[in-house]
Amino acid sequence: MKFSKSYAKLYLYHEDSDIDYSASLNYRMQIIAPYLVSKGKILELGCGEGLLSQRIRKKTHADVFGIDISTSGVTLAKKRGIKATVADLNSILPFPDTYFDMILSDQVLEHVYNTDFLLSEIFRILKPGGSVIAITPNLSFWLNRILFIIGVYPVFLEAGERSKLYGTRFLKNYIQDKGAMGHIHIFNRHALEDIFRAHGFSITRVFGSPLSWNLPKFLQIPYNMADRFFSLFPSLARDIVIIAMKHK
Amino acid sequence: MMSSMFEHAYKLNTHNILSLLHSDPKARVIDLGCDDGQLTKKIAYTVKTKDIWGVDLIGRRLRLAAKRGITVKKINLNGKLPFKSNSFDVVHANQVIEHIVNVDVFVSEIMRILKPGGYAIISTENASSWHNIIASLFGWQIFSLTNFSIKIPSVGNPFALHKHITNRKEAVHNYSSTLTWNHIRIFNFFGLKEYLERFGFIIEKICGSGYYPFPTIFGGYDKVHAHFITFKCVKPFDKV
Repeated sequence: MKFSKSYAKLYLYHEDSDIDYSASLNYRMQIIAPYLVSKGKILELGCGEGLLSQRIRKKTHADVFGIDISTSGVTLAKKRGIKATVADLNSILPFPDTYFDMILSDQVLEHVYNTDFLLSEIFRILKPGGSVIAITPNLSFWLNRILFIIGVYPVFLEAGERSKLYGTRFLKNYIQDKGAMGHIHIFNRHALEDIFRAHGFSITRVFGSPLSWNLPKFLQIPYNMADRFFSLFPSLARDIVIIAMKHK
Repeated sequence: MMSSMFEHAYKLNTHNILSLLHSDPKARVIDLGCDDGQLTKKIAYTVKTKDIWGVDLIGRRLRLAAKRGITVKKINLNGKLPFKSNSFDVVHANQVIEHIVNVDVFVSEIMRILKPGGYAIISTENASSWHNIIASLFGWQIFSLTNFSIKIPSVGNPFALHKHITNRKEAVHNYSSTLTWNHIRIFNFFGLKEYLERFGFIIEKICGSGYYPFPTIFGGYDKVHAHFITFKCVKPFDKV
């Protein structure tokens, strides 16, 4: 589909990228570590350049698979020892039924326009008794609840694929990464639980997670403090982590 | 009560759309997502033109529109439009942009097919409407983003009106109806305004309608929090 091609352009990865992701990766691992299976097959949806998959591979004895729409991402992931394939998450996933013991999706569900189809595909390729870990931004997180009231275009919602700044008014001065992330659908806690249940999963656990972004120095500390505090409440947290299971 | 307020707001929104048109018997008008052509017909009547076009994805609805004397074409609005550049005086899309996957293409295509000096009328739901704000404050999914699954009528908000329920039953069997029923992206007043301006449109007027739980008419004064927002945007003459 044409759209997927234009969409794939949003995600380019470079081998010599000098951005240091280690802090956020450590934090991600801390969140998901208790739920990882120690052997079997793990799939990371939207694996990108495979940094998180690489960590998982080191930590467990599992076979780690990855899929992503970005060709440059998949090439790098393969170098990191991930069994990565290029695939569009809005279409049929190239795996047989009940193939994986665990499926991980970190900041991916919000980039897909056919959520129904993706969740039914996840259900299909997951083994009975297997679980899904999904991390996704929260539409009703603490800051957005204020932004909704004052009419500012809420964070995470994006008008088009050019920039994430449209309608953000005074926030424009504080947002430093201006490019669009490619967000399409944003969920909140209830929506996420509902959609997983509708697709036959049972929900094991839901919790919040903070995630900071680059802000001017004087805002960084108060923002992080507020974010940490609100992450104690899943419906107010910046990110929602949901652990869902396919019954035996 | 909610549903009667919805009807009322929707009616006022239609009124707003028609009020943004001006009569021009020679104008060529197109309605993107014309459905059964009822509103298209009203638009043609207001503009006083006979050169009226309608496009939609669902053939069954298009046939109804064709019976009303509209020149119809079945196309998917997610791609390029099969029309020549600078060929329409008026482009209208009511409650369509929120269903589009690839909005960048959609808006630039509207810009392309419009004649310089022509205008587009784009109407959509507002993410920052009061009922969305209230839903959000209570932690429910905002009303405008509850319909994106064919499995359940409303996701994450038990108070959502299941107004699309008949369509939903069809949607299970028909993939193309799924595409037309699901909300994909939702804009708000400032988001859509700046987005359209970025494409080079000049925003001539913005109307609002719906202000639950207050009377519908309030939406006309505080457009930032209205349920429906309608933009009249003009393609500048220097943009060919």
